[in-house]
Amino acid sequence: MIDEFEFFLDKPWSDGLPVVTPTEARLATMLAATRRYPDEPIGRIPPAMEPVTVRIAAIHALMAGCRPEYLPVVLGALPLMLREEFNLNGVQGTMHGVAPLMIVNGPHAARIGINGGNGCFGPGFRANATIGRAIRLMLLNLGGGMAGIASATIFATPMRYTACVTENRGRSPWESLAVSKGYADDDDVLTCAMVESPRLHFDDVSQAPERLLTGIADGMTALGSWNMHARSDMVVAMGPQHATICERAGMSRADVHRWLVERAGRTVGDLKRGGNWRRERALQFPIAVDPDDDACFIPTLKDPIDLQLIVAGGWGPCTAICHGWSGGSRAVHGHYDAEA
Amino acid sequence: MIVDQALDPFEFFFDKPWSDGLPVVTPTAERLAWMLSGTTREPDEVIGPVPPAMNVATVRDVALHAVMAGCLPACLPVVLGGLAIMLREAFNLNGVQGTMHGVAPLMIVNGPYAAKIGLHGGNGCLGPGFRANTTIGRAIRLILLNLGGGIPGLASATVLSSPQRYTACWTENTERSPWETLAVARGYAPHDDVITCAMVEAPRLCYDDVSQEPVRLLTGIADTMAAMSSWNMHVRSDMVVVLSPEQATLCAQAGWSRANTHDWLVAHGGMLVAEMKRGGNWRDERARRIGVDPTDDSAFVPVIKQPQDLHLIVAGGWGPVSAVAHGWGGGSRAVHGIYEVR
Repeated sequence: MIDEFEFFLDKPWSDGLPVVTPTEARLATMLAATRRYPDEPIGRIPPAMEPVTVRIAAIHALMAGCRPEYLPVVLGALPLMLREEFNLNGVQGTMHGVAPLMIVNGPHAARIGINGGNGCFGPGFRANATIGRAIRLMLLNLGGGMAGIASATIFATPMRYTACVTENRGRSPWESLAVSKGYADDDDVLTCAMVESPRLHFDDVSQAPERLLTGIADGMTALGSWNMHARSDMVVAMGPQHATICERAGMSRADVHRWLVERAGRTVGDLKRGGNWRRERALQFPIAVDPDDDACFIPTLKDPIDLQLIVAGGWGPCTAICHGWSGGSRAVHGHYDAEA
Repeated sequence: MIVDQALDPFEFFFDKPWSDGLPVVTPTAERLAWMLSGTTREPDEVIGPVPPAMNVATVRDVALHAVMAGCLPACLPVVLGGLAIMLREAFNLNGVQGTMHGVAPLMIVNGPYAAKIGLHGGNGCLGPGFRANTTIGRAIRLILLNLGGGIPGLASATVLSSPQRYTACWTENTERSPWETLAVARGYAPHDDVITCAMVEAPRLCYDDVSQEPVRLLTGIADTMAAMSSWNMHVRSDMVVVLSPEQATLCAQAGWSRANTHDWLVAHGGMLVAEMKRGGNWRDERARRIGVDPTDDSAFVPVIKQPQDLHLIVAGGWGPVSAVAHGWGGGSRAVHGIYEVR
């Protein structure tokens, strides 16, 4: 007799972890969480372009370990990630190792227990772990984005197991990312950005925003980061303690965002020393730079909307910085219906 | 029929406070017996207490967690060997279980047994899709959560954690590496089965499709090894640098050995005092403790304080990228040793 776990672990699209056996009874429980028709088409997952319906998304959510009430988030994320400007097709094939990170804002995130506090980028939180994993299983199974097959990823990254967080609303001194984009506080909103695993930025010294943000800006640059060499997204997740230092000094969320966009970067002379620097790459930036002037400052963020600034994590002097992809992906955001 | 979630074995395990948030294989007596067939060791043999809760891990306990993680029995000797090495005092697992930081105990497995059980060191090896890598690392994590109690918000104060904490088990791409392995570089024989463990963050990818010679290539990598807020700058700490086979070959073709490359990175990765003071974790007293004069703005502070703290490996598929995993601030020394396949 075939062990049910071994059956799924043997599939070429397995992420290497056990799945919940997708029985008819469990699928019925999952589908009961949505009013949408099981056969409703959602789209096709590149590059294999297999179709995804509500039922197929529910099966993958089930296998990933989702509770039924997580399903609306998974269903809401798919159409956003399938928008052309997100360029999922490119990321599925790329040699790089970014993952589509979901930042979930709004009341449904709290209701279903998405964690934005202690340890939110790591294991231990079913909603975070399984919502992100449901997306990954579809990218593998329906999209064919398997390493060594449709994906040329050299290293991948652990963020490709799962990538779903929310903000720490209880301890953030500011409005949420979604509200800063013009959504209402009670809107359920998803923002997706193609990023690497977080780079941890510790600072238990700074008492003033200027020094704190100088250090964070330093973590936002690197000779080998694609953010320096192309227009690319970046996620900065400030710990509540770091955000509060800024807020107590009178800085709003927008002030901090602007400061980082303006100050993070390197000079041409510095960038030439290593990494991806090519003169012709600099000439393609959507901003004017002089690649022949060694003193010319190249900002990490070529457009302010490419920085997704959130407040997440537990109390402590730490901020996480996620660098972006090279191939042209624009972060996407939109409302999702938690009731549908 | 709607499933009664209270009776569903998956829900039973999801509800445990030590769940990593992902489904586990239901650990039946039959599956445990199957897992124990992966070793000749006695089920009651003690491996050691796992901090900070100090629940004692026996061979049977380890096998149970390996079942739940999704391991094949052939992977059990690696989990048993890895755990024993991680419990050495120098590794300071107790500190990492409680820390506000987000490092994870990364295993680098060298030797013939790694290949035999399908540990993957090629395309995508730091991400999902490879059962041996994924489940061996996850078995360790489940043990750290369940026996050690390292649960965020309880014994663990981790602020942001890291996706590296889901699982962290790597091997080298020996087929495409131009050099000897990390283990051989340390004096082990090529046929020895060796595990090296280091406390590190998730990898920072460093792309370079431009450099045609080692010095420019390694300058870019050294840049990623340094950051104002990296603990590697401020205390003695471990670091793992993974060169892709293409980038290692670029060095080898220019006549550089593994040791040359290692030494270059140790000598050149770093920042000036003046630069470090501008942000991050800089404190005068921290500088003095690592033998740096805090008043000398032109002093160069190396990322790597002791050459053995840099773990240079070759892994991944073909392409122009390297990965740099930074270390912890609390005093953990990487550990390595032979593990027995029995």
